[in-house]
Amino acid sequence: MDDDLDLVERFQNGDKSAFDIIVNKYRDKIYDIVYSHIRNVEDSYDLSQDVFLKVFKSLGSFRKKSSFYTWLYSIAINVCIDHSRKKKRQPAVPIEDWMQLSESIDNINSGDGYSPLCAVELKELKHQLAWAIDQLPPKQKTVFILKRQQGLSLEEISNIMGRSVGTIKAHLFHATTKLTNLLKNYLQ
Amino acid sequence: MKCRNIKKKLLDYIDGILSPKDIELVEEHISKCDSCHHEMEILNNLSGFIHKTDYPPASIWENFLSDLHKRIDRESVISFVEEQKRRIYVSIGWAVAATSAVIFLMASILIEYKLDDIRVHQNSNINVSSKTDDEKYLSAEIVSKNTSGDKRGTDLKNLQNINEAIYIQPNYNYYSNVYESQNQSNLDNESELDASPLYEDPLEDYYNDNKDYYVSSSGSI
Repeated sequence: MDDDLDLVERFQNGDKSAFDIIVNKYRDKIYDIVYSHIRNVEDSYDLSQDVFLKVFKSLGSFRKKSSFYTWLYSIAINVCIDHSRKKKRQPAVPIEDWMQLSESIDNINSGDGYSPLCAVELKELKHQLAWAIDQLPPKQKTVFILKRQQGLSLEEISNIMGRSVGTIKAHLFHATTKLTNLLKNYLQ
Repeated sequence: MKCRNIKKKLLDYIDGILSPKDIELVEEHISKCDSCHHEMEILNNLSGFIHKTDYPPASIWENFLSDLHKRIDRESVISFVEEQKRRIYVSIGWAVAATSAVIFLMASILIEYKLDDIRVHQNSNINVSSKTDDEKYLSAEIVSKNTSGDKRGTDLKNLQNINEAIYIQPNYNYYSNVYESQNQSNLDNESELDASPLYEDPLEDYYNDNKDYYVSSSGSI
């Protein structure tokens, strides 16, 4: 993480190549977070660029009060939340249409070791899971993604979201309860 | 331990962050409780299915940085244009404000100038007729001191334009600008006037020298 602060300092001193290093280092992680939120490859690509665009504009005034990746992730979360709010103005997508929209989930590698029948069931489960995650309220969804997919600790998530660890735990508990209720039939 | 409490700990149990004592409690409970055991299996399966992320095709993904730089350059141009527009609008705003202030100031001066005319009218005592030229000059000066201080020349010219004679208010101490008495005596007694310090006017010579300026061609003041 000290490397990150060195890169920030280089950028603030006028070395624009430091920004390229930051982008290459965090590109995949930011894309993961964004994709987990919106489940669309094209939009995730664009929103990931939005995140780094905001980083470029704000990096000059980054004060190092928090760790760099905490600051970066919080920008990514806010971009996803803004996108979700805009999307909320659109009608909710029923589960049947969701399966057509999330065509990227269809890529199941036959080398995974599943039988063709299981593969179909897995495919359907993944669709259901993506739909169920999308039903979560924004903060629960974010906490769930950061914890379950990114593998961040509760303390790290609390720093990113600016909430106490207890609040993060509560969000995670409610998110998991809701998902298990939605997916009970598929997860047995 | 009750199921509600166990279910709260299941997530931490799956993540492996429970204390040894709590791990023992959970494992003992789920070995006996089908509902909680079932819940734990669901959570395990859930965690197993959420890790896959789909990336764009490699040809697009490899261009992420160059695409980003193009967007940054585009945003910089847009920001520059917006900043120039903002500066122009601000300059126009200041110009309008300054012009309005100048117009307001000029209007105020003009109104004040016209009001002075009206005050001159109000302070002048209309009179009466026969006065000597000296009396008329003196009266005019008194009026001008009542109204606008040192603007004798202008006020006298106003009086000239008004073309009215002015009645002297006697017992007026010219040097202290104070009326020593409220009584207005008759001006017919010229001896009183001669004795009055009013006639010892330091500017008398000035007026006498410039009499032509203050008297119109018709001879009226």
